[in-house]
Amino acid sequence: MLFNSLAFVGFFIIVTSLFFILPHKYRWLLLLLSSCYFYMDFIPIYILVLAFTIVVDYFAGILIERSAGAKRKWFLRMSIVAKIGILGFFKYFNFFNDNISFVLKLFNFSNPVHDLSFILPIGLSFHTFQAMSYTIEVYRGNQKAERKFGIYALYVMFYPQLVAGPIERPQNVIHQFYEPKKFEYDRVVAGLKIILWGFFKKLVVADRLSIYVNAVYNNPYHHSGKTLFVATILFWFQIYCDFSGYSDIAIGSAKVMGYDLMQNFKRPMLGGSVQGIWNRWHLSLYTWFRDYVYQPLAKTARRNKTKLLSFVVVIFLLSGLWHGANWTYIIWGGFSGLSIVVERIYRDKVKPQKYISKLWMKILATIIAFLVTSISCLWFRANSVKDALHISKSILTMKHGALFKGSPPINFYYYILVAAMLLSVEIFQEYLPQVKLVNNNNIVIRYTGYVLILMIILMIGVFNGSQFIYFQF
Amino acid sequence: MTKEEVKQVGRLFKKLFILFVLLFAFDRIIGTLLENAYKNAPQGDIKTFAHSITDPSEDIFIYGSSRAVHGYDPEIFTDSLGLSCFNSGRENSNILYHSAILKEMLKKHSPKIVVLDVSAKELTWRSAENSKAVLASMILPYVRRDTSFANIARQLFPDELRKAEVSKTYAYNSLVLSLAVGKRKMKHAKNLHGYVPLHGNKIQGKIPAFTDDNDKTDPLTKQEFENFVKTAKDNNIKLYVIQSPILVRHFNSSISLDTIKSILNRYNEPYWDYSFDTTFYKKQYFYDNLHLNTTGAELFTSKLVSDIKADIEKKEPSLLTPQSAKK
Repeated sequence: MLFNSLAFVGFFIIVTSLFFILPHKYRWLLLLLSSCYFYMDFIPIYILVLAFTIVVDYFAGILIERSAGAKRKWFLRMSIVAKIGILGFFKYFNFFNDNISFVLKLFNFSNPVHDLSFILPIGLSFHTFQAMSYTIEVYRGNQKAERKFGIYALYVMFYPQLVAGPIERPQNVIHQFYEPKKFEYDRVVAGLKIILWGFFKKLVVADRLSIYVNAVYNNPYHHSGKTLFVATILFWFQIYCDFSGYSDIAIGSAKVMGYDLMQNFKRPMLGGSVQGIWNRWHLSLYTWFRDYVYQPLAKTARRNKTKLLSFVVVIFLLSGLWHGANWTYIIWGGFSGLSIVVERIYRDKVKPQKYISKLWMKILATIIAFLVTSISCLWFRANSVKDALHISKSILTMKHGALFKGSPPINFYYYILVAAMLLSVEIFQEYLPQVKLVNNNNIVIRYTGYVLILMIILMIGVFNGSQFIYFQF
Repeated sequence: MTKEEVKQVGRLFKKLFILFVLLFAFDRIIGTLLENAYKNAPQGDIKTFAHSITDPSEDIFIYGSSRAVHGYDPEIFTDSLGLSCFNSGRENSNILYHSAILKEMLKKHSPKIVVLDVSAKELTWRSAENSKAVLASMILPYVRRDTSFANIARQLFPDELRKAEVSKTYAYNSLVLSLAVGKRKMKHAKNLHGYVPLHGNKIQGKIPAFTDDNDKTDPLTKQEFENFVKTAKDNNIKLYVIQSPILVRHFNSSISLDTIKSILNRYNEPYWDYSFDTTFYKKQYFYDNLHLNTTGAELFTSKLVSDIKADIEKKEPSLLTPQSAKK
């Protein structure tokens, strides 16, 4: 079930109403059953994959807590291997098999193993990572093993964040399922506002821009450097709004029922540096990698700067691989990690703050960091490595040709308009938080804000029911 | 639920009701404003569409995608054949769109000749989806007052129809800028009978290969193509199905073209292929690999018109009498 569908609106209203009608002791069951329904609306049989990881981790958590020393570590390893095994089988088998075939072909051998043909279970990487954080936190002693199976299952399956995050930590969520939730007007309205903004991002910005980006990226050889550059910049806006729009709807839906999920995006465009952008982008994934991969690695580096920087690249390569079984994602990850390394070295060695005022430094750094991350995103969007290389070359050499404005050309103004609207709102939120529209105390301004957002959605929103990009991960 | 909670639920419903009333009012006001702008000053694509379905009068109608819009100059048809002509082509559209327009037009006017430009991907699923989106943006403003358009919408995009029935503004979704900008440009717009010339040339590098991306044929589109041919035949309209020049590497056929040819064969209707005609297969005649520029369009239209003229003079010379002359 897609968040941007009428079916979800109906589902949300029914589940939320029942949630508040039912006594507290039955609410977990309602949420669990509705989460199963939500998940099974995609491909029902894959609920078994999810059930398997839930059962494994439920017992792994208890066994880890009960054990000590090497045994404790062994149970953790086993549970991680089980999850990585599932992830590897469903997500990476064909990728590795294709690469083996490619290498064998170089030596005139053929690969006897054929690719598997099935659809990837939706949100597999998300709930696998969320389940992993549970066993790791139990192992570290930060979280008690959950004894109530239904509550643990709900932790993995909680429908707002089941298929595309935020990737939660057990300490943040599990205790909330035990707390009785009251219907609080202010909290419900706050949640609905977040949902509304999420829909705006998805329907008005992401899906609108996807028309242009898809037209260009699906035919990169027919377009000029200018066009490819513009499409790449617009893709950044698209993916940001697609994913953060989803996160907003997830966070808002949970908030209406009284559950607080972690923030996933903090206006990354205005991060002020490449690292700043990544510190504000998909926080639940990057803090996951920081907490569970980078920090343990960093301990081994013993303040060796070169090692620490190389671990940053490793983390981003893993993050690329997490996104998809394709070289384009891995190169995107590598490019992103290297750009952070280059930025850190540049800042340490050159110390640009000596030569330029703080304000100009901030403005220039924001623009340059945005351009660098946008350009790296072309690897994320390109259909193949060959396409990505062609697009990179066309942009760098500014391949001759007119700017494609879409079909009909007037659509181009919509793309500029929606990107400008988003940027303006984020600038206000970042630098002038006292200027408020839907959170204004004045009822006239507040309602004007609601109506304005809803009318814009009606007038220029794209209602083609397109999937969220991150569902495929 | 406690009493306090019930009170808060009531408060929420009250506020939601106020918001709903406000939204309904604004939807009607803005929808009405857009409706007036749409009716009073149609420009560009909207103007072409509106003319084709509200006051069509020409002897010849040209249908097709952007390749028709930019490749067929109606003035050359008129000058050579002495028949009035209108280019009813639309960017990103395929036969689903043309068929809907032809059927609607026939309620008011029956042209003598219809020229249909087809592409090598005419019947593919992707073309159908694009065409549905284009058709939706054009006919949703009419669905409240025209049952035949409502029926088309019900068949092709029922969800969109439902939304347009609920929200008056939604019927003009994505048309706001066209209406605003179109009105501003109106004073300078030259009436080219639906033809939109493309100037210059932006082709660089090697000539690309044709790829159909393994896109399957859409059964509904295939059926609609047959309906189009049948409708033309039933209404005694002389139909010319054309593949206009293209600047990609030579290919013999495509699944779409094979299907089109077999349908046309069955109805004994002509299919003229100019796609790789050596006269036009030159970079200087193209704006990009798929579209002719003004020079190319002029040259191609002249050649096509002369071929049509020769065909008509041979088979049905009476067609060359304009309808206005008959009246």
